[in-house]
Amino acid sequence: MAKDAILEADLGGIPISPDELAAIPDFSAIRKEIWSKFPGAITKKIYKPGEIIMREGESGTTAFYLLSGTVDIYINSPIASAKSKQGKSKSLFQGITKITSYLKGIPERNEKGRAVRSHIPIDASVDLPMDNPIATIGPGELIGELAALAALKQDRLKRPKFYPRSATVRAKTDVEMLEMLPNILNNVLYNAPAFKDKLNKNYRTRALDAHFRSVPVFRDVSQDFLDKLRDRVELVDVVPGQVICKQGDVADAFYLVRLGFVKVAQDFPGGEFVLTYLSRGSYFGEMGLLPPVFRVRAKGIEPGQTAEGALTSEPLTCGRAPDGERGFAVSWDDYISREHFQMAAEGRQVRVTHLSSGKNPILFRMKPADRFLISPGETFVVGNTTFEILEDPFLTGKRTATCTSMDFVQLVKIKAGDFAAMLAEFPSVNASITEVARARRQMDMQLLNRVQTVSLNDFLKQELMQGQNLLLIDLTKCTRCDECVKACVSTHTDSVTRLIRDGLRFDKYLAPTSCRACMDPLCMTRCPVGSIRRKESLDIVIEDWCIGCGNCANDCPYGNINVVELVNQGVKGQKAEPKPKAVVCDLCTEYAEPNCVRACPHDAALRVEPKSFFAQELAGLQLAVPNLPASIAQQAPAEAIATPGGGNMETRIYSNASDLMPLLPQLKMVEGPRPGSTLQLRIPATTFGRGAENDYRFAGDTQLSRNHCRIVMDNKRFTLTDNGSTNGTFVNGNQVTEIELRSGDLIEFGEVKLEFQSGQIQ
Amino acid sequence: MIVDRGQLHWIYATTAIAMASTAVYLVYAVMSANGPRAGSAMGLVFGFAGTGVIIFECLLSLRKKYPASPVGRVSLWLRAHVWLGLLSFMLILFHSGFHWGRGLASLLMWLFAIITISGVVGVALQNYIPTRMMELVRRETIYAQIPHAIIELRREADERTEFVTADLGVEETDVEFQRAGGVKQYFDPSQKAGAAEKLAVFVEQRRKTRQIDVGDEGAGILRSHYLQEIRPYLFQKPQPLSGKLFQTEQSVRAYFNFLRTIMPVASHSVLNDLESICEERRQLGVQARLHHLLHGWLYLHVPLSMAFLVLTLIHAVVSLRY
Repeated sequence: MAKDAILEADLGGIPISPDELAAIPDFSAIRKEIWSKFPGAITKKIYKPGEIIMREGESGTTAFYLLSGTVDIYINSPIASAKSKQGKSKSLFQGITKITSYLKGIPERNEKGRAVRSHIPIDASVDLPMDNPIATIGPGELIGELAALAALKQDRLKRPKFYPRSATVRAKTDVEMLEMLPNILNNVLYNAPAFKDKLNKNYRTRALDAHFRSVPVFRDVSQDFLDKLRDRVELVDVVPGQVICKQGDVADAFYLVRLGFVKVAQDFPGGEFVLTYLSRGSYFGEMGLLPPVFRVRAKGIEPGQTAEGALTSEPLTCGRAPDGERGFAVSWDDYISREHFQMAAEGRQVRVTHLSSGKNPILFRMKPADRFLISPGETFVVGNTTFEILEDPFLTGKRTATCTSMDFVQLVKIKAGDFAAMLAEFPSVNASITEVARARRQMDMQLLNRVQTVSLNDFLKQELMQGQNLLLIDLTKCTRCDECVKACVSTHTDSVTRLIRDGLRFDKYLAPTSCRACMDPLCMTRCPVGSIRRKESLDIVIEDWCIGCGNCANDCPYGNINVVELVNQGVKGQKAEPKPKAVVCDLCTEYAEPNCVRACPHDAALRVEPKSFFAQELAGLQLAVPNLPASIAQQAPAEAIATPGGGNMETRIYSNASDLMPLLPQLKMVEGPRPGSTLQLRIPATTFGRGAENDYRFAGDTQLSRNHCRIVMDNKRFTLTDNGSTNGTFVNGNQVTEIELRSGDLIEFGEVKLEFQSGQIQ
Repeated sequence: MIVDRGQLHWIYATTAIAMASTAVYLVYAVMSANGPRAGSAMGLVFGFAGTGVIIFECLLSLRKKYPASPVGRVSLWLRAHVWLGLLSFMLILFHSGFHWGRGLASLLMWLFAIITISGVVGVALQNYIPTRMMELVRRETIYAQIPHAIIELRREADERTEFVTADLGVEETDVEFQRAGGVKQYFDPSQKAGAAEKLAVFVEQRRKTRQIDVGDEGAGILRSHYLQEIRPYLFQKPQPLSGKLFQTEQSVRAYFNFLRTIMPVASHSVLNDLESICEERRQLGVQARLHHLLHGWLYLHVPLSMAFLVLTLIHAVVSLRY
């Protein structure tokens, strides 16, 4: 559909014949007959200096090829800031300001976790510097390549994607351009090897340096090295949905994203977790290529005599009291000299060297050794202490995540050998990348800890379970005072709340519209300027250079991102005019805890990790539903999954939690307080009585015992047991001490009559 | 604030302080030759202690203003506010020697009593109403959005009814529905205009001909019931007759059951939708009532507390000065 619509589009401009196209030097290798297959799909446009060719945020699916002249590319609003409030440091009464700031809870400015980009990626062959976001390009360059390619109907992704223009383009001189539909770009230009080679050559000669330098960690790479690299890098095109590298594969290259989006995901017991979506200017594949990081663990003979340290290629001196920063102290062992031996990573092993100052021998494999290589998992002994080498938990040398292209992706591939040479030659690059890798490793560890929880069904994964960090409001405690919303407003300088106290209900909990830091953050898949990202802490942030196109807001399945009008503040010489910007809950990462939770006077607001939180409520129920009511079936998009037994069961993904409630075991109140209401049964047991300790308390019912009866679920069976009550428990009119319940049974105790409904749980 | 087991520490601490204060007061009352008096040394001690607590009580609103402040969570402050507030009333009674006084002192005592009682009522309501609201109002919305929600319900009901009756002759003024927290800008104005044009065509078509044919008689019945009874209920202030018709969930159900018996089956899907709309409107009414109940006491408690604080300070200055 989209493809047809694009083919019929009227581009305007000056029609251009196949002969004229063939006369353009860059297109000379393309056969004339091909052009005649796409009439009207490419036209010539002429702009005078100062004329706007495209505006940021506008929708557009065409690409422009610059024939002559130069154009300025810039973005208007990198300064529309929506940060948390910060204290002012410059004041005559700094001391008082500090005290009042402390009392108000204004955090110190924390740069950790903030964006480290120096350039804003856009849909052109150049990136824009953050401090002055403007660039000039000349003939032979393509603009709008990503927007055009993404708009093509992509068979593997089922539907086209539409990107807004990422920057404004203005003619600097008299300009001649060719505007073309996506099919020209994909079917004609990309199919012509000569043109593609020319584009790649242009990129290597003109854009590679700037692109490489726009990535902060590569800023210090010398021109010589870049010149050397220029012809060695491989420019790779990837089709939508193609796996670029797979978790666990041997790492053989490093990639820099030149165009498009790449999904980075890891496999966990609970399913796939999307770490991030990378856009132009991002890189991946460095983790597997970095030198291994080992750890050494020393253990004495007495309890508590342990020490642990990191091992790199730099020698680490070990002894009872080693001097210098690179020392590993084993203070408890008198048989170890002050400086006894040194350790350093060497390839995939660790080299241990006995120092002359070390008096006692080192025993390795039961024999004294002065210099030896030891592998992870092995041990050696000095004095009364055993030293064990531990392996890097993330299997260095292998891919730590699976990277998949989201649309037409172009990558710069640097082979492992070249990458290693770069690290060896430029220690600053090595240090920066190692730091990034360390942060990513830390994130992986956090994830591993978080995701190893009970496995719940697909429904829960898709709904509340989708979040990593969920805000819940206990409706039995909430007085609807909106202090949480006011706290959110007062936390942000733009006075716009990220929290709307409305949303999905689950039992007594409300999951308001605030960012859930999803496992698969779809909001990150279409940002044309790469301003939305996941921080190391897994939270989603939108950086200041957002152009307010609304793609992220549109893509958020929970409606938790809003586009608001913000007014520029504090920028001299700029007229204060409102600019659109997307805002999302940042989980108050600059504060000790989210302010909405901290401000709740009734302890009704909670930030929880949903899997573990709801696991207590649902205890890992498997919700296989054999025969779904038609009304629900219509609402729920279903994914039929074959069951081992070959039955007709299917796992359904629900769009609303309330649909689940009738499927859970419950009791319907027939007589007693609030007839018609339902009591949700708890797993594995639910207790009833007059006492406060019961799950369901009927305090006013004098015929009830304090602990009257209980219903226990065991292996899909529900058993009602009377706890020796004074007035007894009745099922269908008969007094019982213990009975297995069936759906529809009438339970009576005291003045209460309940109907048992087993739900549809397996 | 929910009074549950989590409050036990506060209850014990408050009781202990109250008992200690009572013991001191009893000793003081027995030993004073002229009986307990506000102006005596011990009376002043009780007075200062009570005033200190009252000033602390008033700091709660300041604490709420700075949610990130490190001086304890707001919930902790609220607990302290409630339990120390009760204690402060007792301290002031000890200060006055259980005399109500005259003039300003009497006014202060009355104010304090009203503030304390309203506070206790407020806590009681906070323990009862949220649970009730959760049970009774399943389609709860944000309180401030209720008027907008009602307009939307009315518009939806008009639209659904016109499927059976064609043009009802009612025109709803266009109200911009704006989400709290910002506007989503997915479309440029030209796209928006295009969407509005398409909608206008659809609305015209709906009004021109009946989409569900139930005959002239069926359409007439629904039209009269809708315009006389159902639509008047879908306003911010429903007409009294409609209000009575849809007072409870059962009465809503009974009304539409009756309509279903007299209307052809083809129109039942519309009736079901109208029932759902009326039920939602009814729940919104319940929500508004409960909301007023839940927050109404604050209109008494907060202004009186502010007035009380000012008058207390005047009372302290005047008493100590003269």
